Amino acid sequence: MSEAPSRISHLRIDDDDAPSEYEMLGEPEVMMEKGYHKIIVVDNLPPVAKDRYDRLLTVLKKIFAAFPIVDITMPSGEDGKTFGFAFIELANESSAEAAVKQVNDYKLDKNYTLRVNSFEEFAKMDKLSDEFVPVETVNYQPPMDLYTWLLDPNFRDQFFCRFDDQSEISWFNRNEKKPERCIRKPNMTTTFLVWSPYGTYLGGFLKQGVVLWGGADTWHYIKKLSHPGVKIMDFSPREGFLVTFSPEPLPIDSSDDKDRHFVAIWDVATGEIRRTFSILKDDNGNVIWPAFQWSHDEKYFARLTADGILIYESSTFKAIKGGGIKVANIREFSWSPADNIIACWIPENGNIPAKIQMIEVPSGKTVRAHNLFQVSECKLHWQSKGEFLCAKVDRHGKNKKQTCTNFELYRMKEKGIPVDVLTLDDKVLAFAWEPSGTRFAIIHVPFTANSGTKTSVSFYNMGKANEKFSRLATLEKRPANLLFWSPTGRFIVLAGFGAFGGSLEFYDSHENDTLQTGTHTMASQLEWDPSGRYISSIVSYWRHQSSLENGFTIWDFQGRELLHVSREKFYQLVWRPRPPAILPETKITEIRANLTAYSKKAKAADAKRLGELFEQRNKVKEEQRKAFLEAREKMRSELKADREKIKGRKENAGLRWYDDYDNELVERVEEVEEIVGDAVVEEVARN
Amino acid sequence: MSAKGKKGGAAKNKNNNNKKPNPNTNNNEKKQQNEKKNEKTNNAVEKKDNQNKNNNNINDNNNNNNAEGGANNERREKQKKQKPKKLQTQLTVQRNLTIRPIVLSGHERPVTQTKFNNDSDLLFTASKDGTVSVWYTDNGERLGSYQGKGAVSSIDITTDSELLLMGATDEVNLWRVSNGDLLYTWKIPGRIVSVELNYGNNQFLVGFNVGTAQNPRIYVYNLSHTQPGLQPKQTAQEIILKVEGSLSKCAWGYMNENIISVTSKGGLYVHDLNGNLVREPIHDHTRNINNIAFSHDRLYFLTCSDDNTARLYNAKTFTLLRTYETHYPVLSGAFSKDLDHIITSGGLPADVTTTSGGDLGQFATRFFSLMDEGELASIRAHFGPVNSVAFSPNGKIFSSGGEEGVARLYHLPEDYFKGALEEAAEVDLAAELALQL
Repeated sequence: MSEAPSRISHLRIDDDDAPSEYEMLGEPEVMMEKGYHKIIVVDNLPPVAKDRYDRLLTVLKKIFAAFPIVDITMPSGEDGKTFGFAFIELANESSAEAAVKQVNDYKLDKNYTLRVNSFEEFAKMDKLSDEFVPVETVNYQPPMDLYTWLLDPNFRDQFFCRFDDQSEISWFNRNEKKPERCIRKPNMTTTFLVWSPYGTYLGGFLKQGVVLWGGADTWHYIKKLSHPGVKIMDFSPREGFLVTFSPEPLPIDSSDDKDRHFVAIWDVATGEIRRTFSILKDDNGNVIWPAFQWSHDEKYFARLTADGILIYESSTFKAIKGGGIKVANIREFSWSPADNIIACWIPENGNIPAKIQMIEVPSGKTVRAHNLFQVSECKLHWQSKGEFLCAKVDRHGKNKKQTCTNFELYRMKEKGIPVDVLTLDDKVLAFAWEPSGTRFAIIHVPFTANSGTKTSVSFYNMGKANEKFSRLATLEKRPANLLFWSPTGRFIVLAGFGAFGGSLEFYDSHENDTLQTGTHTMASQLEWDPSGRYISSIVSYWRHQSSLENGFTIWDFQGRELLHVSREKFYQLVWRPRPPAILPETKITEIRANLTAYSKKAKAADAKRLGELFEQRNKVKEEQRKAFLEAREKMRSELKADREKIKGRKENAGLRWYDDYDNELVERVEEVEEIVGDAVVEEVARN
Repeated sequence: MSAKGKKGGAAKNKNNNNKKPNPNTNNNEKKQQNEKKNEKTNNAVEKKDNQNKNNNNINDNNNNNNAEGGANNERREKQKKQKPKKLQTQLTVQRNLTIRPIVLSGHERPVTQTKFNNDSDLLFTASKDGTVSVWYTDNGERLGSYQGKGAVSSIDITTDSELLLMGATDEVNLWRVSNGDLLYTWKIPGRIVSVELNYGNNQFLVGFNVGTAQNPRIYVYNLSHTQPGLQPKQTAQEIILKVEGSLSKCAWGYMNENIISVTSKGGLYVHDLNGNLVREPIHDHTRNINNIAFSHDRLYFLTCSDDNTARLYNAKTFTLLRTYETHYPVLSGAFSKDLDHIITSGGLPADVTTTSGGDLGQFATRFFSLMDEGELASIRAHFGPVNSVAFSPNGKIFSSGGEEGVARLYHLPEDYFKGALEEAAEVDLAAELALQL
């Protein structure tokens, strides 16, 4: 199964002296024939006069008879004698190379041993300067700091937006009505953008390949990876590698079949292809993506084949010893997010029951195997720390109709991996583990119900070791079909998209309490920021084309709407992920314990900043107002003069001017106000 | 006829009983003038009556319904007020100001323009149903209507409130306001988008599109006031506009020196009266500009566009001064006279609205601070796009006219002039600040 890494080094894009960052958008350069690769120089020939010229030519032709000669030229001096060398043009470069190799040192006779060189060699020598120039020592330039965004003094989070042909990266400031824009660039991608898992890179698609953007405020490109027609990319969990797929095979001139070059795995740090692969398609001809599943430490990556799971090592990019797991009929597999364990399930086959199997990599030892009966479908869900594994099993009765749903809950960290079983007589719409927690949530609806009115959401807790899981709460009649746990746990948003019209419920699973409900009409996606403070809901142009609704809303975790922006042709909003904390566990618990102290500090800082902000804003406004008023005063006095001028013109005599009328009115009003009591009646009577 | 008399009487009674602070009723002399006018225009209505009795009866019914409708609406708005609101991000007028709307429903098709006369005692509403209605701004009583040939797109009234210019399809009609006489008709070879009198009222312009959106033109006519029925036999001064796209609106520029045109492609052009471009076209807006509105002193103007913004320009130098952002297409705007506010109105057309989620917020009339570009308040009243808003020249009243055929009249309370909106905005800001900390 192992394939030799292909020779593709010349595919690398030299990005040191690239003139523009959009050069990849242009057409690929056509290779023009330049240089003299086909011409060789034959030296050490006997100088001959005109009469023997033809004879020497015949000799030369004979010597080079094995090669496709196009032309032979032997320059001669004024006296008609040749200089003792000849230029031979051959039909192609490879035969020139071969000729140099084979004919060099050919002995013509005792005195003349031919020296054959490529013309290029001479050209190169010719260009060399005669003087010795010492090599300049280049000072070490530290690489661009890619992590500046993590050092934000206000601990804010970033996100990118894609709309129309623009991409925008902004900070989210809670207190301000507008996100603070870092940069807006067109052409960062032709389709969509992808953050790397730790947020270091932002991957964009261009015609010619993938561009990784990043770095400090300038958002210059970090790497360009040439993969024409690239459609999709996938980072490894620690963003060391990038998997790309294009429907066109990579243009690699190797003799082996082209099927192998649809998928490429790149080393993100160097920007080089490590290996190319063929793409697997399902029965309907759809591309199976992700092409590979990575282990949590990126040491291994694997994919499903007909006779098992094929596992590769990322250190060598070759299959591991033994090739992986050789179990037939595996339907689905999934890596543990914390250990090098693969969980997979094998459907029923005749009398053999269905099986869930957990296998350690690379030893191939089966850690746990569990037989299940009457299984029609199974789905594996790992808790984010790999402590629990849930297999959601749809079970059927004898008539093959689904009758109930089982949750096989494995406690991975305990001895023997005990299993708890939760059985629901309902259809399950969604299941989600609390990140780093022990709770999980399920949206379920009775099989008999055909409308969405009987949807319920239930919360369960796995509890500590040796405890049985317990139900925390069931919320009935909830318009929800998707679950979004906060990345820090505890808070969850129950979302009802599609037929439910974008209803949102913000729920605290710790207090078992609904914090707030809201709606974002036609919303199609929710996304938590990595700190769990904010959540964005978007109406993407891909799902719903309406200039009225396309845009996004940002809520805080308690369900308060903080910001709403509508944008035409709005596609994407994704928060920038953060790398995992590098602090030791003890330090983190210490910080947790002193959270109130920190929040006090943060609040004070917020208040100060806000105060300054308002002050500054008021100052600017006051200045603007003053300037405006001054300008207007000046214009008004000019206007008066201008108007008098027009009114004074002969042809305009007798016209009524509305401003005159105005003044009259004011005068009249004043007049009347002076009159009090009965006098008013008199005044009216007189008129 | 007896019904007519009754109506007049009712109107008078209402006038007398009216105790709200209104400059017109405070001013006795003015009031008397009103009543005089009332008599005059009643005559006009009678005349019309003879021509079209059935029509008027329907209108009477409409009027009766209006009173109730208005009351209902008040009630509804009160209910709205009582409703507790979650996280107030924008302020509505109802919270800080009780504002008395008068609903004017006399049109069967969309209202295209609302305009006050110079005295601010009459409101003219133009509609696609081919009529222009006149209403007392005092109480919303309808005085009568002028029947045009086709959909009325634009109107203007002379400073002395004597004459009404009406641009209906391809005709400009000149009416006497007081008795409803059709005095003169100009034929125009195209679809009229704008009619406007100049400063001094001795000329007016007619902006129109010829055929398929190409070659929009402007005609300028002289207007004789002394014998309105016998307009001088004149050929119009023709200005062929050098613009891209079709003409949306045009208006007289500063001191009649030039003509400002806005187009469907979002361009703003300034031509002199000889048809030469005075300056480079301005392309600040990215989409169709719907309207131009001038400040009371005509030193500033506002352009309202489908790109969800309204922009404030200096009418002399054409520099862009401010931009007001809403979430929806802006169809119309107006300047408050006494305070530095502008109001905007708009909304997406019905075909778009019905296919997406219903948010009536888009049909709101919004108050913006002229200086700060910030939204101060909004009134949600119409249930369709609001084609026109106008501020009365005395600054006390404003009107709106909607696609659903209803016009609304708002008498601004005293609190407004004392700065209630600014105060409320401050309070809001403070509350938000408190929320953050």
